[in-house]
Amino acid sequence: MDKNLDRYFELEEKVFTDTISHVEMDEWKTLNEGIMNDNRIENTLRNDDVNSTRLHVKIKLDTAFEEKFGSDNQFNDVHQNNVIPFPGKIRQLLAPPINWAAIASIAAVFVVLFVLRPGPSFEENTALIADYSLHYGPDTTSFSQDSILY
Amino acid sequence: MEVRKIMDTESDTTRIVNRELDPMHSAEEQLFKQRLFEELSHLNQDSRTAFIMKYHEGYSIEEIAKALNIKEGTVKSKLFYAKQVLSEKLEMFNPKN
Repeated sequence: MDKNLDRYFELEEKVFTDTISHVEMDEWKTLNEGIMNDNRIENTLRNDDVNSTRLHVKIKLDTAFEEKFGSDNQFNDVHQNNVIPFPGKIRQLLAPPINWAAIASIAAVFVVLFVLRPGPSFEENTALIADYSLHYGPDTTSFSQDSILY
Repeated sequence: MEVRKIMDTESDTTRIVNRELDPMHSAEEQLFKQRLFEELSHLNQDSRTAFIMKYHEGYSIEEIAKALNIKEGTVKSKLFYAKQVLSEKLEMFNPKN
């Protein structure tokens, strides 16, 4: 099957480049049984307007890129030799897996509200202790007869 | 004999041009394209990606294998599988039918 596939795509390339011989064409037809005739699927995708425009732009961009920076291979060599600063590993180490900034903000709010909150001063404490009404003692409440609470 | 050959060629050309200008043919072509993209979206992701890269974007099998990090043989299998499935689903549009 693998050999057939290799041959299939070899012949397909020849069909697309219009370099297929008559004998090979017969072989191509045999291998293409069960597949849509006239390469209609492939041709529809290849001749798509959007595609042709995009390919045209891609070729222009590739040419401009190669003129300015050299070929793709040269770029890959530079990338693989880690000449580009800040390689991926360091970036991974520095990039926190947890959003530390958000956690720090929440912690700061907690500290300000509950830990650094000003407590009662010495004078306020003394006044509170001196307030006799806050101490327990015998119930001296009395009601007069005409009180509505009686 | 020579005249007959030229006439045959001319009639072939006329037939092809007429077919291209035929609104029915154009509509059928549009419908086919629409169904093709629909069926493409139903393929599994690897096959769809390989198929679009090969026939829509014009990448070679070697480039697709590198991009998807799979063997060239696997790319070929996926492409062939996608072709078979699409041909089956779009059987009604087969030119010889």
